[in-house]
Amino acid sequence: MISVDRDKCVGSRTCTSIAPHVFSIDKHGKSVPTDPHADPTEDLLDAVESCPVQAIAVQPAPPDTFTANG
Amino acid sequence: MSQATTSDDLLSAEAISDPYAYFGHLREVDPVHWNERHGSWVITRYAEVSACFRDSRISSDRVNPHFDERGDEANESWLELVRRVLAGWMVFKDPPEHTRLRGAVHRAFTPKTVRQLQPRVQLIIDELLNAWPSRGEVDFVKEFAFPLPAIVIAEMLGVPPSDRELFKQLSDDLHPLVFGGLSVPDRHERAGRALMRLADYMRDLLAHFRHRPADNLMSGLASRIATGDLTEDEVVANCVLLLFGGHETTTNLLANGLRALLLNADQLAGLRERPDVMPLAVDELLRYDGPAKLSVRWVAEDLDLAGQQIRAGQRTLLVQAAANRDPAVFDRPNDLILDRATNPHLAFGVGPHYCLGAPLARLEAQLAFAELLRRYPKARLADGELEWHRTLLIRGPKALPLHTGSQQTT
Repeated sequence: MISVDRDKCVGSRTCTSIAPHVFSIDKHGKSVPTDPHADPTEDLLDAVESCPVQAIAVQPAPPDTFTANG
Repeated sequence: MSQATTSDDLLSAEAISDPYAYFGHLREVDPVHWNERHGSWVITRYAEVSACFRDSRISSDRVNPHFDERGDEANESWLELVRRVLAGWMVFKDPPEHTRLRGAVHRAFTPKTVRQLQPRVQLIIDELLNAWPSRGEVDFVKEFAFPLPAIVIAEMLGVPPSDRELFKQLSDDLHPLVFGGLSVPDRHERAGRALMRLADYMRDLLAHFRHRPADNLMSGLASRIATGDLTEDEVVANCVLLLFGGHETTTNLLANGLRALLLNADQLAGLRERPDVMPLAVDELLRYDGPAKLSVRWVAEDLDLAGQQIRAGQRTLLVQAAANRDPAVFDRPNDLILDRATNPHLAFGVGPHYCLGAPLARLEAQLAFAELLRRYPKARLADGELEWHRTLLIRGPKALPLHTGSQQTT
């Protein structure tokens, strides 16, 4: 599960240039994962590590979606 | 409404010595202000500054409009060369060209790569401080804040230590061109020559690393020429850029930051007790008195901003120094609060031109302040008025005389 912390995101577009298939820039100039369940490819991990404000998190998908809000 | 009560001279003594009072007043009375003297919109509220940084109608291509204005003077050969070098700088580009150039160097500045530089940066800090007299007065700018980031970025690029003095001279000559923004013919000519010499130097160094690659940033860029991703001119231009971006700004972060710490004794005492606060503290110092006073942008398409009609071709000055003290965003904006938890300051800009070197600047400042506090618990500022750089863009003192007190030897 890929998520972008919108409070941290500064819209530097680093992630969209490294992993354009996973991220795009919304109308507020912030990054959103277009494919939150993308496989953790090298590009994706590179984008995560390259984010200048470390706003991107990748977590394993929760095993049971009913507990995801807990 | 367009007439502010203060003078429109952004280089006046009052605007230079206390930009926070000057631009803060403007933010309250006329947040999108047409400044006739500088032929620019002066934008001071957080909301509009941050929106302009992100708006694609506001262009960073401020080189070509500027030189077009100068008309036939542009025929002079040195000016052509300045234009060629500057036009290749990615800070002056818009996406998608900007994205391509930036993508080529981003790996050198990611938080992960920068963390690996930590032992090397610490070593350079120790070397610089070991050379200080055991007690007495030093100029913190000359003896620390200038050389630290210069050595770090030069080493990253692959510049040999023996050339450091040459770099200092060239960079001093170029300083007014990059950080000024006003047209003074002689200044441009001198800066143009210095820029050419620096570009020539970088071209030689690049030729060297193309044949004998080493573990440095320039060798990495050289390999991108071979693959056709970058041209030689682009690599040269952007190495010059990295050298500037890498040291002038960080120099002023260190000098302004240390000054703010020493002027706020209670905050400093709190930081000594809780060194883990240092990352937050550096960001608060960036907000409170950061090196980037304002950023220049050109308007590519007409737009409406807080009720003002901004026209294509006009120049805007996005005043980070005012936005970072906007009470609409920051509680007690004029107080230094080192453990401020929510701090979306604009010291590094925001959007596609967000400072590439931010992780490196943060690392250098965090390590530097920690070591300075450890070694010099009794340091204090020398008496007397500071002289500030008289430029539009940059905030920093020309010198910062410091009484070191006795050194801690642990």
